[in-house]
Amino acid sequence: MSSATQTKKYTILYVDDEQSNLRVFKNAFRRDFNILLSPSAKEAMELLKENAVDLLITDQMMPEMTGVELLRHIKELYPNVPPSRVMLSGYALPDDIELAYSEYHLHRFVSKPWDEDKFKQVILEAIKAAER
Amino acid sequence: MAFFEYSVFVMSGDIEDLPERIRELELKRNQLRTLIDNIPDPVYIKDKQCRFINANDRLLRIAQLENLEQLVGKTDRELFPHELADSYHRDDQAVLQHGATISKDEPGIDHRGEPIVVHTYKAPVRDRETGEIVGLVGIGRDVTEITQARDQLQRSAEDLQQQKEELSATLDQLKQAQAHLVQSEKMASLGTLTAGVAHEINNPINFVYAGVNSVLRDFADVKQVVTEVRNLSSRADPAEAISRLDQLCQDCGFDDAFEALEETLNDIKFGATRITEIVAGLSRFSRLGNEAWQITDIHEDIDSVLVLLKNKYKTGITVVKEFERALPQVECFPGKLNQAFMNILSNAADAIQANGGEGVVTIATSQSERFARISIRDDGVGMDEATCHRIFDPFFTTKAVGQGVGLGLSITYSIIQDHSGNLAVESQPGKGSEFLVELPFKHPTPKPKQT
Ligand SMILES: Nc1ncnc2c1ncn2[C@@H]1O[C@H](COP(=O)(O)OP(=O)(O)OP(=O)(O)O)[C@@H](O)[C@H]1O
Ligand SMILES: [Mg+2]
Repeated sequence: MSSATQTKKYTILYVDDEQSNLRVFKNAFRRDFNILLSPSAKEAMELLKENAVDLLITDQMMPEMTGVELLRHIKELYPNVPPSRVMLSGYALPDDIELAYSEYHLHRFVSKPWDEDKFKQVILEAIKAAER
Repeated sequence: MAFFEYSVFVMSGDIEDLPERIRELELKRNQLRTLIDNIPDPVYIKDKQCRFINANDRLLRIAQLENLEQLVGKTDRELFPHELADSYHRDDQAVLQHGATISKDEPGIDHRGEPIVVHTYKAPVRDRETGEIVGLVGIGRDVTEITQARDQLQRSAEDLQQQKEELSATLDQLKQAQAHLVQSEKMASLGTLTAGVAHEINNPINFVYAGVNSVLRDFADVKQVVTEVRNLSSRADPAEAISRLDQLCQDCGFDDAFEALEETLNDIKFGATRITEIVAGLSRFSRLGNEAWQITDIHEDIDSVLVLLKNKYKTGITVVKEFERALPQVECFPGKLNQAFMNILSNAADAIQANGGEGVVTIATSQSERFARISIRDDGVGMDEATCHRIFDPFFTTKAVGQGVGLGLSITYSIIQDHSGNLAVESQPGKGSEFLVELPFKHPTPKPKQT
C-alpha cells in the first residue's frame, strides 16, 4: 500500500453521464491514480483548463455532446494536451470510433462492462504511449 | 359384285310374280339409292383389290366425277393426292387382310379440293356363306370444324391451366415477398433494438460488474481493520494497540473504503434494478406475433419504447412528455403498437439528426370520447407536400442506403388500421413534423384479424 503512495500518481479525467459509472470507476482506481470525474463533456472542458491531466477517458453516448465530439473539441482547444485519450462505451457506431482513432488521438476503445485488471492495463499503456 | 346380287330373294318368289317382284325390288333399290345419296357424308364400297364398286353422290363430288360409272373400278390413287391415297390404301389393306375395323381422324379433301379433317370408318364385308372377306364399306365424315373447335377448346384449356399456374406462382411469390418484407422490417427493428439494448444494458451491467470487484477490494481493506479491532482486547498495551489501529486505518484507506463500500453497494443495487426493468421492457416490446387483445397503459408502452431507443435519443435530442394523467387504458396488441410507436419515434430522431442533431421531440397524449390521441412532434427537417403524400408507401424512403428501408411507416399504418385507429401527418419543410395517432379505447367487434 505504502509504495503506491510514494510513486508519482497519474491523473485521469473520466467523463460519463451516469453517476454510477463515475463512482464505480473512482472506487476501482482511486488507489492507483488521482481521479477527476465529470458528468458531462462541458464540465470536462472546464476541468481541463485548471488541471494537468495525463489521460482522458470518456463515454461515447452522452446527452448534449458525444465522446467523439468532446475529443474533437479538445483537439481544437489543446492541440497537444492532454496527449492521451481512451474512449469507453456500451455501444458505439463503428464509423464514430474510426473517426476518433484517425482524427482525434484516440488510443483505445473499450466496451462496457470493463474488467478492472484489463482496463488498468489499457490505462497504463495509453499513458506510456503518450509519454514517449 | 357378287355380294350385291338379289338372286336369293328372286329365286324364292313364284315365277308368275316375277315382274311384280322386280318392280318392287326396283322400288326398294331406288329407296336405298336415294337414302345413301342423301347421306351428307361420302359412303363407298370397295372390292378386294381396293377398287371402288359403289359410292354415293357425295363421294362422286369429292372425287370430282359426274357419275358412278366413272368411279367404278378406280382406286384411291387415281382419285386423290398420293400421300392421302397411300394412307387410305394401308388402312384398306388392314381391313381386307386382317378384318380390322378402322375408326380414325385423318386428312382428306372436300369437293373444292380444300384440305379437311375426315373421320373415317371402314369395316370389312364378308361373304354370307363362307365368311370370307370380299370387300369393305367406308364412310368419311367431315370433322374439320369439330376438330378445330376441339383443338381450340384444348388450347383454351391449356391456356387456362397455364394462367392458373402462373397465377398461383405469382401468388406464391407475393406471399414470399410479403413474408420477406415483414421479416426484414423485424430484422431492422431488431437492429435498432440490439443497439439500444446493448447500450442501455451495458451501463448497468458495468455498475454491477465493476462494482462487485470494488466491493471485494474495499471489503479486504475493511477486513484488515475489523480483524485488528477484534484482537484489540487481547493486546497487552491498549494505548499502543489503538494507535496501531489508527495507523492501519490510514495505511489501508479505511475511511475511503468504508464510504466506497456503501456507495458501490447502492450502485450495484441500482444497476440490478435497471437491468430488470430493461428486460421487462424488452419482453413487453417483443410480444409481436400472435398476441391477444390486452388492456395497456399507453404511457408505459411509450416509455418502454423510449428505453429501447435510448442510444438513438441520447445525444442532442430532448424528449418532452406531455402526458394526460387521466388517460384511460387502451385495448390493443401492445407488442404491435410498440412497434408502431418505435417507427414514428425512430423517424423523429432521424429527422432531428438530419437537421443538425439538436432538437426536441414532444410526445403528448389526450383523449376524446372514444379515442386516445397520441401526438408525436419533432422539430427536425420536416417534409414537403410531395413527400408527405408518399410516406406510407412501402419502400418509400429519402434515407441513404443502409439507413432506411422505407417500410417503417407502411407497417405502422397497417398496425394502426388493425386497431381501427387513425394516423395523420402534418409537416412543414424546415420546421418539423407531427404524427397524430388515434386509438379507440375499446376495440370494435368483430375483432380485426391477427397476422
Ligand atoms: N418525422 C419525420 N420527419 C421528416 N420526414 C419523415 C419523418 N417520418 C418519416 N419521414 C419521411 O418518410 C419516409 C418514410 O419513412 P419510413 O419510416 O416509412 O421509412 P424509413 O424511415 O425511410 O426507413 P425504415 O424502413 O428504416 O423505417 C422517410 O424516409 C422520410 O423521408
Ligand atoms: Mg422509419
